[in-house]
Amino acid sequence: MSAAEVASRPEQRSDAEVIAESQDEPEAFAALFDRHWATLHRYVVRRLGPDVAEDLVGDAFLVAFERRDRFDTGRADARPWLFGILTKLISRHRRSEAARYRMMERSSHETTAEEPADQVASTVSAVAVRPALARALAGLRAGDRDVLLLAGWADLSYEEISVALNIPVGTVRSRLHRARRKMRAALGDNNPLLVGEMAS
Amino acid sequence: MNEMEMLARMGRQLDQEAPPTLGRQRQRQRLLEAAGSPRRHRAIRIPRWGVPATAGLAAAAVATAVGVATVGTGSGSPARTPVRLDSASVTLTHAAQVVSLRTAITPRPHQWIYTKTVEYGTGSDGHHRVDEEWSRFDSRAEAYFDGGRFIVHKKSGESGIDSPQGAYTVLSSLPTDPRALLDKLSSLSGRFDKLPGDSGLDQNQLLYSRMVQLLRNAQITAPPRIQAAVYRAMATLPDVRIDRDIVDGVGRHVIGVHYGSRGGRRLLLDPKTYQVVGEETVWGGKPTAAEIEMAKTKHLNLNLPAGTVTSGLATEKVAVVDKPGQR
Repeated sequence: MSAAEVASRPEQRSDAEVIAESQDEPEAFAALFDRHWATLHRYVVRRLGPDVAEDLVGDAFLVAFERRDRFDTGRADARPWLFGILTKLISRHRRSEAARYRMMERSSHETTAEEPADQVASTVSAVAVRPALARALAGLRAGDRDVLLLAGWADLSYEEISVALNIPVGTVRSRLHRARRKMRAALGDNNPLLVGEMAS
Repeated sequence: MNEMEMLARMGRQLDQEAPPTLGRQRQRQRLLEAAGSPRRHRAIRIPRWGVPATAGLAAAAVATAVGVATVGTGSGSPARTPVRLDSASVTLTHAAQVVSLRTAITPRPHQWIYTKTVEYGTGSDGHHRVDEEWSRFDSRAEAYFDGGRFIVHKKSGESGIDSPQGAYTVLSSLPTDPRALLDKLSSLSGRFDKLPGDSGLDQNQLLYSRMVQLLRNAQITAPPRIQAAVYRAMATLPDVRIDRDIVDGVGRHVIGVHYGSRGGRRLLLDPKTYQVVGEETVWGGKPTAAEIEMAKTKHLNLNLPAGTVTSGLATEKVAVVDKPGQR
């Protein structure tokens, strides 16, 4: 969710205020669910597929609820905290995550007739690189993949990832650089969609 | 299109391919039931996370956050180093004097910044990970080893705050008066990394974070007079604290600078040159969800004193070189 979306929410209370209120009135925590369910769910569907996503995000909210006294109320936005909990729950499904990427690596894509013509070309080129992206994702170390996907699929900043995973920002940066290199290598040196390489 | 844009596009496609969500309401109901009777739902699978809340942890929690620092080397029980609180302003003022006397290092646009880092602590899969990279100062290329292959990769030349040149440019634009420097930093909001809940952080914490970002990213290219001003500005913030005589994950004696007293993150400075040589996250005495989970999978002992390092990144070497591959 972008800052603009946050600002335009009809609900004006910050996440921190909602969590503070839920200390005395536990049901108030549902407001956090309503705000962030869709974002968290989408992220897990991307990583693990739709089958486990609903239960896993539900579990994440239960963990968050139990641990709400540990939320740093100095931070208005609870997303990094929630994504941190979510990441740890996802780590229990490491094998099925890797299997999902390997399946994507093998599968081909068929464009549907309903897709507007001007989107077909970009869809095709995107799908053409999906096996390579999936192979690269499967081959990353877990810590590097967490950082890459929190940046690429959850749109968290370095600072936010640092809070989510409880690692220094420099480590976030270093892991992201490493993961991006692996992605580029997997996409191939001659991929025309990528900025090319120079001779050293 | 770069690999991050491709990844984002892949994500959007996966969204489109996913079936509609049907169980949202059921999950919401689970949460409401837990909220109605929190004790009852503890029997589900989640509470394993609560197990480490032992007497040992409770004892750790009452210890002062800076009472003892333990440097996690990632192998077995970490060595303990005593720490004492020193006056942050005295140390940072001294740091400012030292760095203001050093020679400025301003690379030419086509020169490269070589960096060798070591990741350590419980968050690095239990062992150290060494990484080398070369970044051209004009942000037009970077170089690295990938599986024994040396790769030089072209980049767009955009130099955001994350690049040495971007951070250098912002630092160079700052005044040397500490108060004026902080005022200027307040006005540059758009250029910095988004913080979790910017609006919820107090202004000093935000300014501190921006100064850390600039020093970390500019590395040795930070203009000495400005770097000195940044240290003087940090010295004016009441919640900035210093940990003296700590040892980092690669065995160096360093000084830690952090904001507030509750564990968290600290910047590591060389005690002689006062250059930034690393960063760490420090155990505040209360385990985070991530730490408890790590304890389960990485055999991390949670009965650690407050001040234990859970994750660190040491910059072992930084140098300006003429060609990628030179060290």
